[in-house]
Amino acid sequence: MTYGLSIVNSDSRVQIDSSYSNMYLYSYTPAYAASNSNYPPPNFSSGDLLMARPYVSSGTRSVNLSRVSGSPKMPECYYHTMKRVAGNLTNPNSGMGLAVYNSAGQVQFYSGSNNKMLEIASIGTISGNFSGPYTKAALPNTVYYPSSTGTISNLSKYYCLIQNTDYNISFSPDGLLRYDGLLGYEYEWVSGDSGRIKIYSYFAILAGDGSGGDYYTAGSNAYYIIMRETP
Amino acid sequence: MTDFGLQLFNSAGQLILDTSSRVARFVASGTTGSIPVDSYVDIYITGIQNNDSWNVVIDVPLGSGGSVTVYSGYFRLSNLASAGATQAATFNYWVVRS
Repeated sequence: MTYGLSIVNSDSRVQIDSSYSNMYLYSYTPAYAASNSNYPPPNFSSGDLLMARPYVSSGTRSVNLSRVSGSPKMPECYYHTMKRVAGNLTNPNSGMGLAVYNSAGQVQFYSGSNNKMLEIASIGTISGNFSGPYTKAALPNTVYYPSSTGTISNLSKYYCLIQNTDYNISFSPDGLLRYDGLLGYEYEWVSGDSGRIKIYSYFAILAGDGSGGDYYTAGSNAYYIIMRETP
Repeated sequence: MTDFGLQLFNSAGQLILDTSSRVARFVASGTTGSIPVDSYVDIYITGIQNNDSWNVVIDVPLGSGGSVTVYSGYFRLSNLASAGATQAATFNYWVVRS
């Protein structure tokens, strides 16, 4: 970068610059999706990120799209739609705050409209895991946030990227093999609003004819993103 | 307040961006053409590198087995039978920097 503004956090990661557009919340109040409602939800556009958390904040709750047949369906959840600033927000011409523009004159960041933000709590990859016939992934590939035994105190402020999640069941043409795939999140409330998030990825092949079925591996690499609502 | 960086407050005086915050920034999004089983497409993104500041998200069409590998200057999106693909698939993708 030879000109313009760049703001770096304490880990030397860029927060704001004039090269890439920041993202903002379409609505500061999360929207509600009913179980099995259509994906994508209203007001979603190409390029948006869809961050979701369970509707019920207790016990163990899954958050993932399901694609058993036809179009993907939403779980019952609260969700935030994150949109890029450039091209979606009008350039401010009055008021107060900080505005950062790109070389085309589009606003990349604007502080004036921010009442809430989502910051990244955890981001990474998880790869698919193998499960043999008759066994539905006894040890699914799993990532925990903050850890397998740790908890965070305000779990209902955390949202997970849902648009790349998947739960589907399919069968071989002869109906003898069942393919059972899951990439998704599970919230575990331990006490009050404290708990953890588990990320799953597995692909299981279950034979229904007693023959033991074929032996496959699942190796897709998927990114997961967990964000925290501020304040 | 620390002696470096940016803090951002809303109109209620609540801190919404701190000097330690890590945020998502939009780089690109799009849709691939149809990718047959066990084939791939390469998508070129200016500046992309295989490190943890670059993140590529794809959706999971029914019957697909999407897998992403990031290289310098592009990422490869494969539709792998070993990841569950049973048919050709078209993927949406999102590239995010953080």
